[in-house]
Amino acid sequence: MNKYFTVIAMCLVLALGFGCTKKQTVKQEEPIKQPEVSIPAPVATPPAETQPAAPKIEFKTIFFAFDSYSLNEEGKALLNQAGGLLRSYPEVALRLEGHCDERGTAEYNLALGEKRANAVREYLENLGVSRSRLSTVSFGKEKPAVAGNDEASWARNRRVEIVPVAK
Amino acid sequence: MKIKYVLLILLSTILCQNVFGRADVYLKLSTSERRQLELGIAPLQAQDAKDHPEAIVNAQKMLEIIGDDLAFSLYFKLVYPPSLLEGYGLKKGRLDIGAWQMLGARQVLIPELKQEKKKVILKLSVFDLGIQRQVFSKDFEPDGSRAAAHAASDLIIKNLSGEDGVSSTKIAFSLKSGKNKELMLADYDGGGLRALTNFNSINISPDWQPGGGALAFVSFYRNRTDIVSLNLASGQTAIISQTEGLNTSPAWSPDGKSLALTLSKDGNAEIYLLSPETKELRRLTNSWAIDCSPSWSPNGRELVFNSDRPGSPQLYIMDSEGANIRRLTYQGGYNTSPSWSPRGDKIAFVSRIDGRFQVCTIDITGDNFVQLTYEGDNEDPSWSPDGLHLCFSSSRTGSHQIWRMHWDGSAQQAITNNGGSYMPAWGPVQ
Repeated sequence: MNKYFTVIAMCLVLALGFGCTKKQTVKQEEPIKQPEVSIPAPVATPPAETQPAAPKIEFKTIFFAFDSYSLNEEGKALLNQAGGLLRSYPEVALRLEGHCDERGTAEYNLALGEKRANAVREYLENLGVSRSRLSTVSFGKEKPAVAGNDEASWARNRRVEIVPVAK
Repeated sequence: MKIKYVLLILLSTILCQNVFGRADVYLKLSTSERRQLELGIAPLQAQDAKDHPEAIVNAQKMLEIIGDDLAFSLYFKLVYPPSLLEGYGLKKGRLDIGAWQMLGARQVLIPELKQEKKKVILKLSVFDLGIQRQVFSKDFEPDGSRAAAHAASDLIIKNLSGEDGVSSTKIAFSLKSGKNKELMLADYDGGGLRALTNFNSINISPDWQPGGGALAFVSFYRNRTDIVSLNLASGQTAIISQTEGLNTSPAWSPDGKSLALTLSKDGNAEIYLLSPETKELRRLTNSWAIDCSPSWSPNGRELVFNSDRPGSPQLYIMDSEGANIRRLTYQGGYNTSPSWSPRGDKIAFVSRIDGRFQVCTIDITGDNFVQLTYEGDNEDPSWSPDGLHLCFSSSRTGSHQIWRMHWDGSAQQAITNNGGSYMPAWGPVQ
């Protein structure tokens, strides 16, 4: 926790410093009473981390039914293949990214996306893949794979993307 | 003879009730449960300001905003004269009481531009036609600003109804820009729009800290969900929650001491109470299912939340200790996004009806399920602080805009015109 705070504090200092050099004339007024003046908030973005190169193998995306996080037969078959591939690449870890279609509540969909990622993780664990190689993240309905508001588009957005990362 | 008479009266009463019963209900639904004051709006008197055309333009601009505010407040039924010519409703420079009574007004708002020393001021006064005297008078600077107009509206509302108006309140929301979503702030009528964040990431679920000084929200700035707080005066941000897994749906308690939120650090989405000051974290729900989207009762004793424990997402109520869980909704297979009315009696939420998402309300007893929207998808309802209005996002015009309406679904109106506007949160009276 402390580590995070140090990082955040540093980022804030950096962000503020950067903001100041750019916008030295910005008055310190309460912006809420000055709706005409648009003061961008200091951005607490951490410095870009240098990621190790991702291994060059690809995994198929797993799809789900509306409001469901149950794996269908096709999904299970794809995960069986993925399990085999993982045995040949012991240095590869996976980030399982859960997504939903655009319908329904954003907050509920964030939880649903995570359930989908967890379902994939549990299936892979049952195949013998070590949990330490599997991380999950949910993007809910915030990052659709395809635009469009018809069943074909929605079906392609209800998914878990399996992203190989260096272990 | 007497008995016949009584019977006739009884019969006509019953008949009248049957005939007019519907009209009563309709009236109640289409306006509000509260009595509205018939308020005449006199044309601007500006003889004094002939040499200040900009003051006249500014005053007209402010009066337009004030008229919209007073009409939307639900406390008034505005009565405009048939002619907007200056001097209408006046007799020899004084209010023509008879003319305004004929129009059905009980009080009249009289706007005047007056030259005082070297300054021009906008004097707003209200004359009560019943007791025949002035009941409100206040001078304003005719600077044409939206903020000054909204402040004048709330002052009039407070003086004539005794209630706190919402004319000066703000609405925060999430605006799509490319692949990102940044938080925006607007007046409650969509005016004065400005950006709050410039994070270059997805930022959603804004929730106002009581008092209105800060917003908690969900940020993907690390490409995962964290709960961040933004101080509106200083623009400074701070991390509120960064646990493993989900950190979503922040909801400040009414006393501002704790934050209800959704975390999945213990395996799946559960609701927790976090005290940002002491860092104490208490788990409230315990279910294999998704539990998320908490919203506080106004007295801070209970929370309504979303859970798919019955196999589909439904609304539940629990106390703030996590005990006494009861199911609230049984209609349909998808009820989410609850928002507890500041008046305490109703919960607004989203229900999937015929494949589309609609804003509905239900009493906290589980009775009176009422559908408020019908076109497009309508999501993320948020109450005004007086509990008389709701804002929400709607796709009915083809793109997502922020809309507002009265508690009963009447007067639905878009307040944004950029597409990609989502998740509005109506701020407190400040």
